[in-house]
Parts: sequence; structure tokens; C-alpha cells
Amino acid sequence: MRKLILNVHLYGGLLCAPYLVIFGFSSLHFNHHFSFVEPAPNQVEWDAPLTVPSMPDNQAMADSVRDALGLMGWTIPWNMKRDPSGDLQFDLERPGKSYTLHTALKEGKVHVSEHHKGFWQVVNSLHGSGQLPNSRFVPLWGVYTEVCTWFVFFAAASGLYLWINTRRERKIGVLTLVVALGGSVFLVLLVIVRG
Amino acid sequence: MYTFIRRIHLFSGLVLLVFVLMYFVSGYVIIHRPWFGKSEPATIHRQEPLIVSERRSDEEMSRYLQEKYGLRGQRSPANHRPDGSVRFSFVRPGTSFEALIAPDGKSLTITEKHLGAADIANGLHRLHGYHGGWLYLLWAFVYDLASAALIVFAISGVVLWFQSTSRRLAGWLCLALSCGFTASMMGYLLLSR
Repeated sequence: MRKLILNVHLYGGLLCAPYLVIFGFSSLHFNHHFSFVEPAPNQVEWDAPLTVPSMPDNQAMADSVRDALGLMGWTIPWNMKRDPSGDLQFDLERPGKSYTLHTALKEGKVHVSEHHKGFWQVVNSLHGSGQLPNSRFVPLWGVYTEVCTWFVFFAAASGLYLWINTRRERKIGVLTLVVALGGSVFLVLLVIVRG
Repeated sequence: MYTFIRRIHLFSGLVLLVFVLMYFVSGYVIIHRPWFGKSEPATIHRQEPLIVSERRSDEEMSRYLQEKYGLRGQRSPANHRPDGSVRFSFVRPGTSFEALIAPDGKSLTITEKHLGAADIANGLHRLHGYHGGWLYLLWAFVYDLASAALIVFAISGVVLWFQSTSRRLAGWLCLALSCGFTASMMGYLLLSR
């Protein structure tokens, strides 16, 4: 039984190691806002042919343009502008890139400003990504996140089990655990109740 | 060397067990938010007169409002709005206060929101930043330790695996699979149109 638990702890850890590093790094970034993570200005402009009907609803039309171009991401409802001619300007956001699209329906095209956010923004976005419109690959990251979350619960329990069974560092370990457990629970309760 | 790394792996786990688990439990609640029920916050609005004799900096004003009107929580930087009003926010898990000082500076509107249990988990997960009082500085420090611990667990775990066995094929396969998948996802998000 011990060997089985050790193997799951070991190989599960190897399977989840990249996620733990990404989760740890992105959490540090949320606390410190590292300047190197901020997206550098890097923009590409392009036009593409567009054949979508004009629609009265901004959100529906933005989604339709996005789908026609095969782009991934969320259209931003509060950042849409309609021209008197009926053309629509809207933003599209996804991990790694953001776009500003401006339709020119009479000319049958759309103008796209594509902003590249850079490597560290992508790392940061993997903290909790799971769904992305028009992507069949990104939901797999959601599955991986789920697996790693459950693995962390298992790793905590199995790590304690494996440590208790080795009989090494028993006294100092128990003392550390009791003090840390008490301190952590006290801090969490203090923030909730007295914060 | 093996013993030293094993001790780092073990004791960082023992010390930060509660915080690491708290972040994964609260993260799980955030990911699966609909499963935990949606509750509307109980909201209370009140108007208060504001009598301040001397000019105060944003930080001093934030502190003053917190003490004078009992607005508990982590203080956030002031938001100066185009109409001349100034908004101060105070957040703690499950409760938030917003104090909006009128453009003439003579009154303020306080909006108090009380949230449910799932939102307390959400609040714990999102509470970060070195600002807002000693309790929140301490929280941010432990948050940093827990975040760094995740990186330490991963790296020390890989080293321990490498040093503890001579039959490494299965381990290399696991590592290649996880690193390959992560690199593919990054490449996909960076390079796909």
C-alpha cells in the first residue's frame, strides 16, 4: 500500500509539476506585479475579407465577425462602437493576444489590430484558464487544472502519510505542523472575522 | 544532498499546508462557481456628512474613513473620478465597503456589501498585495511563501525522484508528457491566430 501511494505521489507530482510552477509564479505576480510580465507594445495590422450580414445587436454581430474570421476569444460587451454607417468596432480578448476589429461591410472586409501580449502574459493566463470561445484545445488545460487540483489534495494527504510512516524527523515535524497549522488557521480566521 | 532537499520538500509542505490547500480549495470554488450556488450580496447604503478640517493625502483619508466610519478591510488606492468625486474601497473576504466622497467634499455615500460563503473563499483567494495594514501585509507575506512553496515542491520533487531511483523511464515519460503539454499550450496561445 505504501509503495502504491509513494508511486502515485511521485509520478502524479511529475505530471503536475509544470502546473505547480505556473500557479506559483502567477500567484507571485499577482502579489508583486512584475514589470517584465506586463505586455510590451507589439502590434500587427491586417485586413481580411468579411461576409456577414449587418445585425442590430452589437454582441451578436461581434460574435458573428469573430466566428467568420475563426478567431478565438471573448468579445467585450462594454467596449463596442457602432458607426452611423452600421459598421462595428469591438475588442476581442484571449490569453496571449487582444484584438480591435473594425468592420467595413460595404467593402466586404474587416480591419484588425492584433496586439501580442508576450510569453509571460501567457504563463500568467494559465493560472486558471479552462474555456475559450472557438478553441477546442484550451479546455484540455481546464481538465489538467482539475486533475492537478485534486492531485494537490492527494499529495498533501499522501505526503503526511509517507512522512509519518518513515519515523524520521517525527518530533520536529509534528511540532512544525502543529505550530504552522494553528498559526495559519488563526490568520485565516483573523482576516475573515477581524480584518 | 538528497536528505537536504527532502527536508526542504517536507518542511515547506508542513509549514504551508493550510495556505496551499486553502488556495486550491478556494480556486476550485472559483472554477466551479455555479456548483456552489449564486447568492446576491446583502447591500446597505448610507449617507454621512464629511467634516475634515485639514487637507489629507489619499492614504491619510483612507485611514481616517476606515476609523471614523468603521469600514473594515484591506485599503485600496483611491480612485479620483472625472466628476471630482473620490472612491475609496475596503475589502475583506465576504465583506466590502465603498466610500464615495461627493465632488464638493462635504458628504460621502457608503455602500456595504455582505457576501455568502462561496464569496468568502473567493475573497481569500484574491486577497493579495502589500498594502492596507499590518494584517494584510502579513497575509501577503504568507501568500508569497505559499506561492514560492509551489515552485519549491515541483523542483525539489523532480530532484528527489531523479535521485531516488535508477529506473527512470516512467518518470521521464510523465515529465515529458506534462512539460510537452504545457509547452504546446503556451505555443498555441502565443502563435495561433
